[in-house]
Amino acid sequence: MNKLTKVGCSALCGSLAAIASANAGTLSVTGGADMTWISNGTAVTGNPLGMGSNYTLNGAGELDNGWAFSLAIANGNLRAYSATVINLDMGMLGSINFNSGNSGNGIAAIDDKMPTAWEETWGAGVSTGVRLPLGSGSSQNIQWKSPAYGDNGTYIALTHAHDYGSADINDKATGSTEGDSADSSTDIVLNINPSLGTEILSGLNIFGGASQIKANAVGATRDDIYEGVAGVTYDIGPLSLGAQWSADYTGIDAEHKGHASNVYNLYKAVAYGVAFNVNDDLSVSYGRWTARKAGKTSTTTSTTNAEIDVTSAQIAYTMGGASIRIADTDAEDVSWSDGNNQSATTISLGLAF
Amino acid sequence: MNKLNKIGVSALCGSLAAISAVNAGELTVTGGADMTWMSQDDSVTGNPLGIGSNYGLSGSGELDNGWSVALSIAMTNANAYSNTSITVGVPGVGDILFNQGGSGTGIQRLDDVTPTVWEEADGAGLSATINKISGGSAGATIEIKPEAVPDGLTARFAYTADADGSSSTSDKGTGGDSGVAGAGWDLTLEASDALHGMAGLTVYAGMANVDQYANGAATTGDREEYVWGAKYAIGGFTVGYQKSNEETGVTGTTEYDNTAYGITFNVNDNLSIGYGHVESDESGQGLESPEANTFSAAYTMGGATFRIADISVDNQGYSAATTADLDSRVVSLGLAF
Repeated sequence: MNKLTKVGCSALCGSLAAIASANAGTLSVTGGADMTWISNGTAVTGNPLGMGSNYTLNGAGELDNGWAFSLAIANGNLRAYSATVINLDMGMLGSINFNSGNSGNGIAAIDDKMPTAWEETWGAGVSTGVRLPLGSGSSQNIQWKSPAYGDNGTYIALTHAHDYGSADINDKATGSTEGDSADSSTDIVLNINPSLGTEILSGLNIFGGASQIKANAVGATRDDIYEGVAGVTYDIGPLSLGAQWSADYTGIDAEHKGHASNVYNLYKAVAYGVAFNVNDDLSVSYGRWTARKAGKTSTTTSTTNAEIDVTSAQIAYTMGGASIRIADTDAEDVSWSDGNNQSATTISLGLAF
Repeated sequence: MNKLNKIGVSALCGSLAAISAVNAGELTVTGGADMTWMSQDDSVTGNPLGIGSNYGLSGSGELDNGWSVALSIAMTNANAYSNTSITVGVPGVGDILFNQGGSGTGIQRLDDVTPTVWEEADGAGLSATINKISGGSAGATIEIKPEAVPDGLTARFAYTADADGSSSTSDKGTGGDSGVAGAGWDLTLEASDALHGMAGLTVYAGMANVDQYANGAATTGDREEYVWGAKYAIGGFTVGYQKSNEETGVTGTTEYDNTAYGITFNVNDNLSIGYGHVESDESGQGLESPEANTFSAAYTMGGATFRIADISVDNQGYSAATTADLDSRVVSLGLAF
């Protein structure tokens, strides 16, 4: 960690600052590659070989008063810009996180916390079309997170996006307009590790969060959106178990906003997972994610295209700096399309630097 | 500085070179982030929160004959490519800069260097949309900074073969064969007290000429630009004033006359305040004169810098419309690495 007395802005501003400046050091680069081979059952896939190439620029420093800050500029595959995240750790005052919209804050951070050996159930090779709670996380947001209470990681986080749906806005600029359907959004997330001083409960984690996305009076095509997530995970020895529930009300209500009478306005999902570390290198897991349309704005009783069911069995083996992973995933009624059943076996070699 | 025995070509060419190669060392990454909250009076802004994320890759080395080489690959916000530059230092001759179109070469490096604690008068988020001198820097440029000049004098001569549309041409490629602008050259001079003997005073001047082809229907001649100015630092104060002029060489707007001045004061080692002004007078069409006035303050605190700017712009973009008069306040937290 670099201790500075002054920081320059020449690289950022291109100006001649009146006060002499210095840098906090150099940025470091972390990243890796993930090579995959996907077999999609009977589907025609063309080239099954894929390669990921993510990397992130990281920096850290410290203010005169001891507060620590960090910077991450993340890039996805093919050097595609992902997000910039700045975190200011204020000690007992908690931390402030500025995020350009990488879904790492708010309830998006707990959209799927189920134990897994590799990827989420819906993220290992089949594009399932399940709805995930996003809240403020996918928009440019500011998050305050309390300091961890005790040694068990209990915290509360408040996240606010001034303009939901607006992300990746450059400095000294503003983004979007007030004419879209969404206004601001606010999330609250609570994470509790209620060990109660006992050893057997030391691995228990309970989490929950809620988000409100305000409808914009200008674009008034719907009501406010509400999203919620709650779940529990439990680690005991090499075994990890978890279950969680999520729901979102889309704000589309025919009675109030004149939408078509057969539009779903409520989605629910339930997920569970179990993972087991066979030894320090080998782990296996099984997970299931079931999403369903749970509400309508009329009395239409059709139940077709109303549920997506995804299961994934995974195994991961680490070998020094490399990891070999295999996932076998089955998904039914993909993207809410009745009878659109897909399966995939994905083999991965991951290298991290 | 890394000493090289051989310069490899593999990284440059992607081929298997017959001569074995070694690297000049590792590229280092520098950059930073700048978070801003921007409010604009009488404007609908949507999301006021912005995050900058510039970074650059830098490397340097030395050849067997003592020449130095340096490389810079710059990215702007959101990982957007900006430019690449290579500097070759030849002892006894000077530095030769090959630049792919960065805005810091030639006369453009002097477009507004009046004192400021953060950004230029119209550069902190609310632009007056003033036409400023740019010389040939929009094209790929070769710039020479000779050593054979008197102490205290810095001279730079820049040349571009095509001053428009050819700034991001890759190796083994050509570009910019269309457009009105042709070749251009820039000359800048900066003198410090080692030359004129007055401590704290820096004077500077520059001129540029860009050929313009008659295939542009509005072209009447070449584009010519000039700038001169001075900065004076005494105690905690720094003041500066500069004038620049552009004869556009086209019909319509035939000339821009720009004036900029600024003053800064270092209250202490951490806090500085400043005021800056820039204005532009247009000739040829009788357009309004845009101007920007900015009060700003900057406070450094360890690894971070907090900045506040209050900006007032009149006649933005040479417009007389009432919507061209704007005010804005910007709060910034900057981190640099």
